[in-house]
Amino acid sequence: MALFSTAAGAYPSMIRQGYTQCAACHTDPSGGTLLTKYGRAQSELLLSSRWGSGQEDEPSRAADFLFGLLRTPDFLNLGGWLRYGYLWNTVGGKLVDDRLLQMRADGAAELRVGPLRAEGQLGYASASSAPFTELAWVTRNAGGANLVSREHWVGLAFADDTGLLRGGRIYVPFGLRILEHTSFVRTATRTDIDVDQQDGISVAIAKESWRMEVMAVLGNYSVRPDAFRERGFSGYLEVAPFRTLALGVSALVTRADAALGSSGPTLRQAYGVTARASPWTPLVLLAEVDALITTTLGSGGASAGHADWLQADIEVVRGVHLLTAIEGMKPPGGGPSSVGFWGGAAWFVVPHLDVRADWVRRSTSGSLPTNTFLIQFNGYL
Amino acid sequence: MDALKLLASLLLIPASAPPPAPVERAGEVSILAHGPGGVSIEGKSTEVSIAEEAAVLLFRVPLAPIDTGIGLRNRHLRESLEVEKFPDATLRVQRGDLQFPAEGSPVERQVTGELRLHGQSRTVPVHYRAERASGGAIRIEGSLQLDMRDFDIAPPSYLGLAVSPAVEVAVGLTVDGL
Repeated sequence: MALFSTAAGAYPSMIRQGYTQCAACHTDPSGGTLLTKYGRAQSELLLSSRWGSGQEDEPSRAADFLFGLLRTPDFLNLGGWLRYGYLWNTVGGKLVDDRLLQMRADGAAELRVGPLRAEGQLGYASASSAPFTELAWVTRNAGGANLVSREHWVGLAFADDTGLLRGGRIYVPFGLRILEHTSFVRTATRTDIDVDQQDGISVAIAKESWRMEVMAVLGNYSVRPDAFRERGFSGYLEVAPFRTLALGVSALVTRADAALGSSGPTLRQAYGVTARASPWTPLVLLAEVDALITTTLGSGGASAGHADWLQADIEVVRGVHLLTAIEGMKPPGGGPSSVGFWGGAAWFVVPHLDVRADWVRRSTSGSLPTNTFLIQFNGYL
Repeated sequence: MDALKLLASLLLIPASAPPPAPVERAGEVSILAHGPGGVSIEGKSTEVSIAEEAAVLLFRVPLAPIDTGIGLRNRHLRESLEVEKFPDATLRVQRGDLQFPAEGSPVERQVTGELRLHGQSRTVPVHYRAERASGGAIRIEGSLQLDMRDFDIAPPSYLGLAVSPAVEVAVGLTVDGL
């Protein structure tokens, strides 16, 4: 529960607007990263409070990069994130931790020349966040400040921009690409959008009624030594039978020569089903159920578990969301089961700023319940 | 003089009374356009009417009320279609080309119609299905595809997202009097 950073703008709840796909608004066809120019406009038109602007007004120039101070050419998308939060943790009703979190200070650029695509992020991670950013380090200053790069890749678009083949450090395609990166489904599958990216090669295709991405995982090269790098594949397929319903399946199979808590090479598998639905425009439901299997190779020992997530997002007025979720997890290896309850609110105040407050209560068999309270401010350049 | 007028009008009465004008009970129209990256844009309206003019069935859709779900996009659509200048889209189909269903025997066919949009007229194939309910009303579901460029409409492009010129149109209508 150490870090809650909503590291990027991933909003699978945009299905409420009929956007089952991500590629129009995000430079990553599976969503969650840098915004395209079209995505910036939608951010103001569909996400943020309107503050008296008419329904048919054009987005303001201030929604552009750096509040419109620097106009970027069509072939270049620029952006950045600045996120800070304050966290309180209690165990058994007693405050055990409270502190300011430097969550994110990253810049990003994407280049589009013909079918060529190239994107990179570079950011600063303070010394206090070192334990939580190590998986994305560019520099290796243990215990100190570091440069981080969560993604960097080059690719080729094909089939009228409905496909993208790319290689580099990429967000792992698996499950719901949700902001809540400390949720059980994201931590148990190691597929969050904070630091769980992997180096590899992927192919993504986004059609109107379906989308998919499959990735050959070649290892996270910020991790050392090599024995701890996981290699395998990961991918998802999501079908949208209606404009407000999308159903998906995901699979991840990776192998590493060594793993924490394992006596030898380890095969890690996760298989998930997901659903996104907006039965009523203000309401979006997101669900994911993952089966987890971990096998210690050579010994024949395999253990299974699961991670589950059900979230409701209600937009009470434009820009203001009430969020709640329940989650469960039984880790492979026979560890105790846990359940969690999330409640909170998010307000997209203006296109470049949102604020969010969360309360998360988790209970694990045999342990005292924990409560986490977090407020965070996210600026998007 | 009045007697002469009365006689003339009696002589002009046809052997059988003309069929009643069709009256729409309910209708809906949807347009579906496509963009890159799997984007689809759907516009909907419930304003669609039918009239009969000299053996021609005339379907009329006012364009301004079409709602795409985003206010600014509605404005762009209206501007693209120049709805102040060309407020309606109409489809003219020869009544004689149509087959009307008997109760319990739906009809599904393709006919040719004249679509007028943005001040341009083009002949287009129209697929339709018609089914007569027990009360006599007919449920008509028709669809056609068009290319915006054939109607002198520039495919919209917005912040790098260009809409494909091919558009699918679907109309549903429940009609009395056919």
